[in-house]
Amino acid sequence: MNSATLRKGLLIDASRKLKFTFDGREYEGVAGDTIASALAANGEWILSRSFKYHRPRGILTMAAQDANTLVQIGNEVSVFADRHPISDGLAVRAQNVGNSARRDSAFVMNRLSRFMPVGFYYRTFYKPKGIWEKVWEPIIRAKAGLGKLDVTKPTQGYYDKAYGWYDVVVVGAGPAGMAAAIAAADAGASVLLVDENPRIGGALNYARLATERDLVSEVKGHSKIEIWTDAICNAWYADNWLPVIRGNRLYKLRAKQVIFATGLIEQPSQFRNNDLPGIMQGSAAQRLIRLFGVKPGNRAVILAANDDAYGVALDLLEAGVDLAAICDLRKAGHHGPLRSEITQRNVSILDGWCLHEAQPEKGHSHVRGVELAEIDAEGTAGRRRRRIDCDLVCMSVGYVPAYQLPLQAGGKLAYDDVAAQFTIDGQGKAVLLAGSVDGFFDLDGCIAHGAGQGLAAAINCGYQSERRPALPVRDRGSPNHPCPIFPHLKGMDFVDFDEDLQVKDIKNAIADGYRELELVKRFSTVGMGPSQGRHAALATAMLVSKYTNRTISEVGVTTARPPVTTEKIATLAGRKFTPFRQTPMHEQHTAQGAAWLLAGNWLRPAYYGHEPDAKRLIAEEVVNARNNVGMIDVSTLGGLDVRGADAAEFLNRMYTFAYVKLPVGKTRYLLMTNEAGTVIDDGVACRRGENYFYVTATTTGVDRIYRNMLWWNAQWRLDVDIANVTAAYAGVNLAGPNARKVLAQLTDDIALSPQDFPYLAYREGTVAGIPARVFRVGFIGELGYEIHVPSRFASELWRAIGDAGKEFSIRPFGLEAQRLMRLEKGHVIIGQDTDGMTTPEELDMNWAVANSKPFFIGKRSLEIRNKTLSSRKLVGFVLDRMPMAGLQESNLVVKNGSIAGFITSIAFSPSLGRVIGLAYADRSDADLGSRIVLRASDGSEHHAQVASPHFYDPENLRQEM
Amino acid sequence: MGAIARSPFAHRLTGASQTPQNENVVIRDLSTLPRIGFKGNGTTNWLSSKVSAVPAAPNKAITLSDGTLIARLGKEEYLVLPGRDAVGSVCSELEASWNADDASGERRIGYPLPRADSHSWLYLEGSSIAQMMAKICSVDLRGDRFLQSEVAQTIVARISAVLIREITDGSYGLHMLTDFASADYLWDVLQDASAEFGGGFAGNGRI
Repeated sequence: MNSATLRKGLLIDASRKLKFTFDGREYEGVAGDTIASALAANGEWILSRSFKYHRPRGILTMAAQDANTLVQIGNEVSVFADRHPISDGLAVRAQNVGNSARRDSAFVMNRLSRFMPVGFYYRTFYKPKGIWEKVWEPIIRAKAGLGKLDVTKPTQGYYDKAYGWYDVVVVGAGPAGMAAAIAAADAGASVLLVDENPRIGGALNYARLATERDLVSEVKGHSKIEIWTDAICNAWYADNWLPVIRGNRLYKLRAKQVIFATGLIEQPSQFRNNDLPGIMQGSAAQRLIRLFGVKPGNRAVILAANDDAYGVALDLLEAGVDLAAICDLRKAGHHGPLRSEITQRNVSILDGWCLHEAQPEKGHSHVRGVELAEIDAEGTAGRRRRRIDCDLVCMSVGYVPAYQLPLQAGGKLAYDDVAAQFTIDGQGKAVLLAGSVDGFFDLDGCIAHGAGQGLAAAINCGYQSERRPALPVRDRGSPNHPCPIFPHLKGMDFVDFDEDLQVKDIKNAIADGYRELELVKRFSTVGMGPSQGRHAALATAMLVSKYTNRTISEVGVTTARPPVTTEKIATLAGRKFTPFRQTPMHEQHTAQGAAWLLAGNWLRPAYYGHEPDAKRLIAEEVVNARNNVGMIDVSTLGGLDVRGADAAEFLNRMYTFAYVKLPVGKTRYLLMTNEAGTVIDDGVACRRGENYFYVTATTTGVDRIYRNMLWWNAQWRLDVDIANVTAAYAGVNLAGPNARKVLAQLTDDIALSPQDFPYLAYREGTVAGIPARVFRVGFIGELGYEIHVPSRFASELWRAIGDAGKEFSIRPFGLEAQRLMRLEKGHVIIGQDTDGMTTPEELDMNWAVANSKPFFIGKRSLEIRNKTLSSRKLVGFVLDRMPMAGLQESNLVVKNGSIAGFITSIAFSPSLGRVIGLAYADRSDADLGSRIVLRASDGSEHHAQVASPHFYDPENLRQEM
Repeated sequence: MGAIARSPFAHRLTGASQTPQNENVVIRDLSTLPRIGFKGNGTTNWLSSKVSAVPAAPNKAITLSDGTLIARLGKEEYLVLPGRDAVGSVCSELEASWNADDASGERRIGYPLPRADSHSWLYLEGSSIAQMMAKICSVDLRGDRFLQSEVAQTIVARISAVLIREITDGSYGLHMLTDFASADYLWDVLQDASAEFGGGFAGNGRI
């Protein structure tokens, strides 16, 4: 099959030749060609193979609405060949084929179709037992899917997203959409006109339509209208949130008013072999001719049920196609203006005839002829037949509105059984419909309706207009045939091209008891392919109505959900935003060789050094801090300024401990429980003034704690102001026996002797010339100072401490060493050593709970929970050495074969020379010296001895020195 | 105080950075300049007694005669930015004034906030700023919608931000104050977002 070409079309520049390949063969196209139009111009009509039977498939719509034209380009699968432009060197491959679209050995499946009736997979593959997993699933998985995606290859191209805001967004730039945009913009609204095609104009570009108004020029010349072509509005979400895909960018648009002028989707007729290449919608033939200058065939038969079919006939004649016959499904008496023109051209018109069967070339490569049948009294193919040779069949039998977006916007679909037409209503005031999607079929009516809706949208946006929206009266008839379905005894009369579903498949699904449309869909998979039922939904509804003796309005159609058409994962992913935070000393840590870990969204040094043996580096950091002096960046600690006359009372309510009597210049441990009495955070409160507390919180907890504080005080209304100053203050913990000597070099206004600055005291002064908040705390169990300074000066502080500490061989230590040293000291980490049930009592931290207070969050729950203690307790444990199997956090503690708890922290202690840890164990095993059983990940069990969790310096002599 | 304040963008500004190729998107780091905030009960009365005017409503900003920009972030919350070519020291004067009033026992005068350390400060100007911001912020910042002196407290590329439309006769200008600790992240975000406009960072300091 090779048709001569016109090669003069609205979208192409025939002077610019481009070369591309399809299935390895080189073809020449021209600029503006799609893959499908260029191949058609070369006489290549097979674009793909069908899903189940591997039947050759070709152009059906030329509107990127069907799965027939899905091809693969590079590693991108399921690209619409009738939408994607060609370019020099473009390499295109057919999908779901053995060798190529032309030659596909899997076409043998077509002969086996009788063994694959609808739903066969539900009752075929499950016997004998085990055969599904071993045999059928691997086969089906290998067969499933269309393209071949190499998931190891990175996504090509840069994808991102952007927001956009408009008064009115008009989707669809056909006559109604353009008229709506102009009317809305004339009234003052900012308008975005979105169309998926490369050129605005809609059907004006390819159909035999003429209007006095030059709508395209009016739109292009309007300062208030922005035009996006090649842009797909792929969904409607609440509050007129519209995702519009334009190239590699996903726009997230907000519109005060949306006008859907999405037009119509032409429907196929069902007859035997209605899927052969060369059989297409009438509008597809017109698009080929007018847009791409491609002659769709040499000798055509037209299947008609409306006047548009005669427009197709005129276009074919003008393109030099022989018109063998027009087969009109309607009885005589339907005379539109275009039919009147054709009757003067001496063309054979058969009124009341249908297309009963299309006959294929060898290998089903193309249509070679048709068998027509006179429609009998029952509306089926009668016995009177006629055969005609042809290489092109154009179907113009009716439309459905492109209702997907309106239905997503809340519209309800109804069906007028008399006019054979869908209607849409109830989509809300912020969503309007314009033109043929709302049942206006003649051009003037579409334009008038669009203009009325555009003005209405502008007025709804608040723009004033002297004119009032004037909406035309809807046409009483429709161009739709009530049931253009003509089943064939031998089948292959496809209802759903995507899923290879024939009329009998739908009939059998109903016969199996699936009478409701949604059940038919799920059982048969009709409408579940890439084209999402655009050409199958109405036909299925017609069949269900026919075989269940109901009207289509009673049967309804299936739900329309986003997305409207295919979209790439890359489009949805876009440019990824993954915020992370760094302390002001980040660059210095990098220079010192920090290995990073993520704590919340903070990047923190885990340890320093580039050697592969991280454990050795961490142990060295521990030993140096224990015996000498170390420094750690603690800027990530949460920082909250709590100020006001009620600040102490506020802390008293938020935390378990008591703060009213805390003297100025002192610190006190903070423990927070939630309403259920569960421990959720800890920190230190420093009393800077009578009414001013500087409160620390855990790195990952501070944002939640801050929100909690605001939430509670919104109810308590205490005279207190809370500010989250986490990022504003950076901190360094200077710790080790030589810490005081190092700090002494950096401050001359803070007295550092143990008497002047004792353990748990708080002082303010300057450190390295920087105003600093300094408090003596001992998280790691050594003499230590936590120095907090404004973030702008923190890198200078880090440098100064490093310089001052040189003579003491100071070295930084990371989070790993800190965690290890706090474990040696028996200090818990909230979130690691606690879970969603932990009470202070389980942690042996009742010392931090001031039960004499009238209230703190969780007090009442703790009183109740403490009456009936839980069965577990957090205990320290020791092992002489780490078992070969290894023990990790979350490994179980078992007792008598049952789970008694789990390990929360475990490590080899360089200071103690053995393995230490914390674990929840049975309460009865909490006594020192008890034995508990730890189960490793490989199932092996290991005995550990319960010990005081204060493994290191239990008398606190070192941190209080 | 001997130490010199350091911008959180400092290490990026000294490295190989994307510089503006035109005047579409020009980003300047003002983080080393002073800035201060006040919030809490009584702030509006107290601040009104110290400066010639404060914005009448939240999410509005005004510019004082010396160039100081005062943005009202809430009923009782303000952000004070010195004029970029100002020689005065409005922030330190206000802080000293607050400390003096607090020391003298005055109550209900709000509390100062360390905005110079909690927030980095960028100034974005150029003809494509709104278009670029549309890629990273869901608020409509177009010139005819986000008017001069308007303030948006919102999210930019998933981090909190205070955006203030500059009050100027010149081209579109936007102050952006975001988390001090997220500066490195924000730098990459802005470099990426401004690339298609030929934009970039134009160095730091006053302009």
